[in-house]
Amino acid sequence: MAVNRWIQSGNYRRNYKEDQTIFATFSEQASLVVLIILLFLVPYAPFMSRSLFRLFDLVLIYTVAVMGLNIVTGFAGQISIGHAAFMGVGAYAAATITRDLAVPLLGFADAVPFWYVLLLLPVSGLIAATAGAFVGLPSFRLKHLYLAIATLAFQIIFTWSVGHTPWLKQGGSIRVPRVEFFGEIIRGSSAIGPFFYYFGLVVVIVMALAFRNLLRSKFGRALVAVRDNDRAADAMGINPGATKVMAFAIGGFYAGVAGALLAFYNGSVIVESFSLAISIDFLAMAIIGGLGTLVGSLIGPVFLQFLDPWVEQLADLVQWVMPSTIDVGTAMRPSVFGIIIVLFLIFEPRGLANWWRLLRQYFKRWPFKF
Amino acid sequence: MKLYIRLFFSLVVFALLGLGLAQQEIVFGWSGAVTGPTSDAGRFVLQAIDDYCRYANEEQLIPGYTVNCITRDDQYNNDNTLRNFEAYLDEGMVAFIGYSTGGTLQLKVNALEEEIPVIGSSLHIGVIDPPDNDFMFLPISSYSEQVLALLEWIADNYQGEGAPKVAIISHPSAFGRAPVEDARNAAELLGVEIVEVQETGEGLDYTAMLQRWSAAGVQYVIGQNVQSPIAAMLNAAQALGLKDSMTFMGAHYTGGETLTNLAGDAAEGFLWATSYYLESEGTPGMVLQREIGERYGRSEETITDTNYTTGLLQAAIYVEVARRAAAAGEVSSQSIYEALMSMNGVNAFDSGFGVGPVSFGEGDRVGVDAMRLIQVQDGEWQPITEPYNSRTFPQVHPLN
Repeated sequence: MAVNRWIQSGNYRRNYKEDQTIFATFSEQASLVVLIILLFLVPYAPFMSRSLFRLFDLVLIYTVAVMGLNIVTGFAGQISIGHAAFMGVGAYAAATITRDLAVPLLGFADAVPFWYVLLLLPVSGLIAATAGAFVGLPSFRLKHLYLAIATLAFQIIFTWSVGHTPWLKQGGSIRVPRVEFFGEIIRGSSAIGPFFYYFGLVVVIVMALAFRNLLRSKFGRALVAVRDNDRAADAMGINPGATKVMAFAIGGFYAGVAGALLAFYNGSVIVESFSLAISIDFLAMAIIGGLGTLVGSLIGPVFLQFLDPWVEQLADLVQWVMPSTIDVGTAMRPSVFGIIIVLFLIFEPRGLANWWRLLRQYFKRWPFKF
Repeated sequence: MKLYIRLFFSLVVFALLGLGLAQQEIVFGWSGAVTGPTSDAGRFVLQAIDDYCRYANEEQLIPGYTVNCITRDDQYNNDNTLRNFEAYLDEGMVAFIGYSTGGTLQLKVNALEEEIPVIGSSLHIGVIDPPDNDFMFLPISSYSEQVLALLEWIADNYQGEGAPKVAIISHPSAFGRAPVEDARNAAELLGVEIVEVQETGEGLDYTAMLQRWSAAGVQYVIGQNVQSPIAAMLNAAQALGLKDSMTFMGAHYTGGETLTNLAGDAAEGFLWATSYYLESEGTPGMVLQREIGERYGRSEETITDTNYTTGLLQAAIYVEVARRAAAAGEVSSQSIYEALMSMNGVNAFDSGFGVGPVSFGEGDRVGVDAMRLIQVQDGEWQPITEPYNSRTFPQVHPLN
């Protein structure tokens, strides 16, 4: 019996073709369309300020990077503590290609055309993907904690190398030209904020679609198989080593695109934007959002980025209340973030994505409880 | 009768309201580390800026205007610095005071696009190097100039055979690496041999490093770092008995009361290059520093700290340019910038906090250009030179 795809409340997928569909119901499709429309209307909200735009823009950029980390850690089960370094590879690729090739050869001066940025995002992604594949090579032999240490090594090598390379300004600021969009140079925070909001949103939508489709493919299922049991996956004809390396490459691609986006957003690249602390933040975003889910990659960055200013204000308050000799404020941010991660790991290891799932199910079944 | 009383009070209220409205507000923004890395220094800078702004309002240094200094913690995080900068724009900021090296370097393009002058606490020469340096200023001489001044002192005072051997201990960051290239170039000009540049952030034991340098014949050690690693190194040098064969020295953020408190006796003989007066010198600026600190209930530790002087100087420069801009007509980011750029010659500003006048203009983005060398003698910081400028700096790093 055909099921009404507007109101169905359970899983009525009856064959492989239906199982491959992204959306189970039309209402899911409709709600996504409404959400996207709402997101496109956000810049018109009266409460939007320059600093709020910055928060939103960074959320979108970090979302792209966290999607990549989720492929590596959430789906392929490989811990990566060097994800910010992959993002840094993408950012430095974008900055140096623009400075050393595009500006002298193509004659760009104050600004680069938008088509160039669109072209450079995947190029930067590919360069970061190459780095990702290289760093993923130890996954042929290493697992778990040992692999985590290998990725940590890449993070440290990256930071050290950039800091000692005059070509990369020794980690100091490398200028990246502003973007020219239909003849207008996007400069100044009042223009950059909304422009990169829309640009970032479109990139997130495209990358999320690619992410979702990738995971519906044979390779996506291979990733999950390798994560759950790589020996069993091997017995089924999957090459676990190649799958893991590919996961690192794809994760690197996402991070590289995010890095290039950040470079054009900030108008400069500086090594401090790709430190170990940022890598840990990405892991926290992926864990709190929900490992192994696309929704988790979207919610995690929102939660942590918006939590940050709140913790900052709380730290300010505590700092003024406590005696000056007790530096509670300094411990506030790492403590709050650490406690939140631990609480999620203990009480909700599936992250905020699971809360989202439960909420959706509640409304799907409403007014019935089960 | 009641009608007259009501009328009188209404007039008083309207007059007070009118007075309140007549006082226009000038917004300065500060973003720095109140918590997190380097917050030990950042907190003093913040307190100084808050205090000077209160002082400026109470003393009515800018007639007809009140100064509103908005200060927020950025936890030494560049993203937070940029976010605070943009938030201040929404609040009508006309000038910005920066703090961290990374944050200030990354702000260059934003400052240019928003046309907001920026004076940072970081003395990285890249802050005022082109491109995008139009709205960037340093309060005092750069790290590069300070390190070069120390190299010149070595070249001038060395009496041994051959070239004097120098090692540099720098922080593993853009802050630490800032003067290294200039130092190498200046060393060639001065006939000084730089044996090694060692990067170190929070090391606790410098025995191996010092013994290696001792074996290599190093006679001078220049620090471009913060006080804690320098203090640990000085303690290790004292324990190894190297204080007689090596002279230790450093740029602005290596010295001050914090170093003598941390290193104790081991700090004896340490040479420090800075452009600030010391609180203990009792110069007019330092008397004002004590007066402001005591007026707002600051501790003795705060009042004597050089970072407190840094904040006072930064705020004093902006209050002075705002006063000049107000006298000329209006206070805006543009008029503040113009007042800064004309602060030279007879219009230079004697803040009293630095060893020379504050001057800016075309080709001059450094406030207090001169510096002195100060040495720890019997546990006290004593100036050993008059204020002077590095002679090699213009040769190795010409400024536009």
